[in-house]
Amino acid sequence: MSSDIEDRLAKCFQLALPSVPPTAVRSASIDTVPAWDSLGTVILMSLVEEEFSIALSSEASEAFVSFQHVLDLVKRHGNASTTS
Amino acid sequence: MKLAEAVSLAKESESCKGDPFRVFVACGFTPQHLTIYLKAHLHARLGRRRVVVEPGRYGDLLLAFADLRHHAAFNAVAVFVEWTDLDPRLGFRTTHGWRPKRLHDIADTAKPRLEQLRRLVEDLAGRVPVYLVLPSLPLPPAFTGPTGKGDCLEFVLREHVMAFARAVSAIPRVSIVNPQRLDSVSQFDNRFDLGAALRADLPYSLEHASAVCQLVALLICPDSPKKGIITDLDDTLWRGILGEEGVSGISWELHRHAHGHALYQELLASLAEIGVMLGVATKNDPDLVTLALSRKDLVISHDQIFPVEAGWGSKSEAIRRILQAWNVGADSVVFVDDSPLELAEVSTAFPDVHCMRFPVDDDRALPGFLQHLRDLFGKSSVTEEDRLRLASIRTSTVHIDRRPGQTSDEFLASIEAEITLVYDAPNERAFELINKTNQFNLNGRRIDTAAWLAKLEEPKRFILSVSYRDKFGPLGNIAVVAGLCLEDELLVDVWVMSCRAFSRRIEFQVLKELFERFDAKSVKLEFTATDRNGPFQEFVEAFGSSDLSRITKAAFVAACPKLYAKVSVHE
Repeated sequence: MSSDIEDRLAKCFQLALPSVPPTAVRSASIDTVPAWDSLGTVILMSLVEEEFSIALSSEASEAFVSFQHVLDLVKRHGNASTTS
Repeated sequence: MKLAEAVSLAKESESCKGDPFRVFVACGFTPQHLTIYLKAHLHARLGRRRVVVEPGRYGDLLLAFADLRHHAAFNAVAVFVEWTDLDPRLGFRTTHGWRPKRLHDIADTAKPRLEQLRRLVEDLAGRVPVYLVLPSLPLPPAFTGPTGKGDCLEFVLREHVMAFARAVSAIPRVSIVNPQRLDSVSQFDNRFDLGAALRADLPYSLEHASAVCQLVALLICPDSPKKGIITDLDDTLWRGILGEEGVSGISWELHRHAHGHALYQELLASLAEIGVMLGVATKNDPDLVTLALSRKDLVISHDQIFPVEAGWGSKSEAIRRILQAWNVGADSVVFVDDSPLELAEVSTAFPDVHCMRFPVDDDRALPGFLQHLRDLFGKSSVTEEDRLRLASIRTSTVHIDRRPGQTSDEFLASIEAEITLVYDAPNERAFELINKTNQFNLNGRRIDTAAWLAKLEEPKRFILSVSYRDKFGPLGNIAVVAGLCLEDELLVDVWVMSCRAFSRRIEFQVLKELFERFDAKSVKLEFTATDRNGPFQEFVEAFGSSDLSRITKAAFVAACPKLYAKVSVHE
C-alpha cells in the first residue's frame, strides 16, 4: 500500500515538476529542484488533492518542501489510499 | 477533465511544431489552473497546432489588460471576470467587508469597474477576438435577507453585470460564455474551492476550471456548423404513419399528445431561416407526401424543404441524391430518423453523416435532442447569403437541368448573369467563405480572426469580393480572392468560391479582371492540393500547364472560354 501511494505521488511530482528525472523524484526537495517555485507548489498541491481525493488546508503547503514531507502528509490523511 | 490529464495534454501541445496559436488570459486571481486547462482543451480541439497560453498580471483584472501591450500578438484573449474583480468585498480573502453599513455602496463600486472593463474590451476587440466569462461563483454570505429570499442589493449587482454583458456582446469579435450552458456543465455548489482560494487564490474548483475552459475553448475554436438536415417524416416530423393513417391522421398537436413533433418542426423552421438546408428522405408514396406537406397547419412551411425524396428505395440512396442536389459533403449534414435500423443503414453508407435518433414518445429526452440539433448549426451571425441559400439551390437544379440539346454557352448566354466585384471592403461573409469553403479553395487554409485582421493591414494587399445574380435570382457574395500586388505579378494566397456558384464561369471572369486591373503578366498561386479542392485544381489545369502554382496571362487568353456575364467593379 505504501509503495502504491509513493508511486502515485511520484506521478504527481513528475507532472508538476517535469524537469526532475524520474529517478530523482523520491529525493526531490525545494532546495535541490530549482524549478520548484511557488507556482510549482500550487500545481503540485492541486494534483495531490485530485490524485488522493483529499482536501489540503492552507498550512499543508508547509509540507510541500520535499517528496518525503508530502508523502508523510498524504499518509496522515485517512483516505489517501483510495484509488482515484 | 482531470488536472493530471490536462497537464499531460498541455505538455503534449508543447511538442507540436509550427506557428503557435497564442492566447492571453486575463483574470484577477491566480491563473495557473486556467492556463493549464485552457491549453489542454485548446490542444484537444486544435490537434497538431502548438498552443501557447500566457497569463497577464495576477491580482487585478484591469491591470492584466495593461500587460497585453508588452506581449507578442495573440490570436485570442480570454477574460475571466469574478465578483471580486468588481469589489474585493465580494470575496473571501478580505475581512470587514460584509457588514451592512459598509456594503451599501458596493453596487456603486461595481458599476464603474464594469464600465472600465467594457472600454478595455471594446478597445481590445478592434485587434483581437475577446472571449469573456461572467462571474460564475456564488456570492459570499454578505446579504441580510432571510433564507431563500433574494436581496435587493444582490439583484442590483446582477443587473449591472447583465447590462455589461448586453453592451459587450454587441461589440464585434466579442463572445461571452453562455451562463445557462455553463450551469448545465458545472454544478453550482461544486464551483467554489475555499481551501484553494485561501492558500493560493485559486477560487475555482478543478471541475469548474475545466468546465469553464472547455466552453471558452469551444468558443475560440468552434466546430464548423453543419449545413443541412435531412429528416424522416413518419414518427419524426409528425406523429403517425402517413401510409396507414392518411394525411388527416398524422399529428403534431398538443391535444393529440404529439407536440414534441411540433417543437421539432418549429426548430427546423427556425434553422431554415438562418440558411440551414432542409431535405426529406422518407419511405412513402410521393403523392401522399406532397399532400401531407401541403397541410396548412404544418408548423414548418413546405417551401422551406428541398428536396423531398419520397419513395421505396433505401434511405442512403435518397441521401446520396440530396447531397448531390445540395452539392455538399456528407460531413456537412445531419440525418434525423426515429428508426435505429434506418440510422444504421445511412451511417454505414455515409459514416460522415451525423445521425440522430428522434426521441419519439420520450418527451424528457426532447429538450436535449433539440438543443444538440441547434448546437450543430450554431452561427455567430446570419448573412444575407444564408437567407438566399435555399432559393439558390433550387436555381442550381435549373442550371443542371438546362433544356435538352442546349449547349452550355447557349444556356449561359440566356441567363442574364451579373457579377459585381468589390475591392477592399471585406466583410463577415468573406471571412466565413474562407473558413468553410472546401471544393473551390486555393489551398484549404483556414484563418482565425486575429490573423485575418493582420492580413487586411498588409501593404500591397488587395481583397476582392464577388457577388453574383442572374435571372433566377441572386446568390449574394459567393467568392473572395486576396493577395499581394508585386512588380509585374500578382501573388494570390486566398481564393475561394461557394459551390453554389459553380458552372457559371465566374472564376474566369474574376481572373480576367485581375489581369486587367493589375496589368500583371502572371498570377502566382499559393496552391496546395487537399482532399477536397479538386474543382480548384481542375480550373487551373484548364490553362494547360502542369505547374498549378502559376497562370500566365498568355495561357489565360488562350484558354479562357467565352464569358457572358455583365461585370461591374467597385472600389
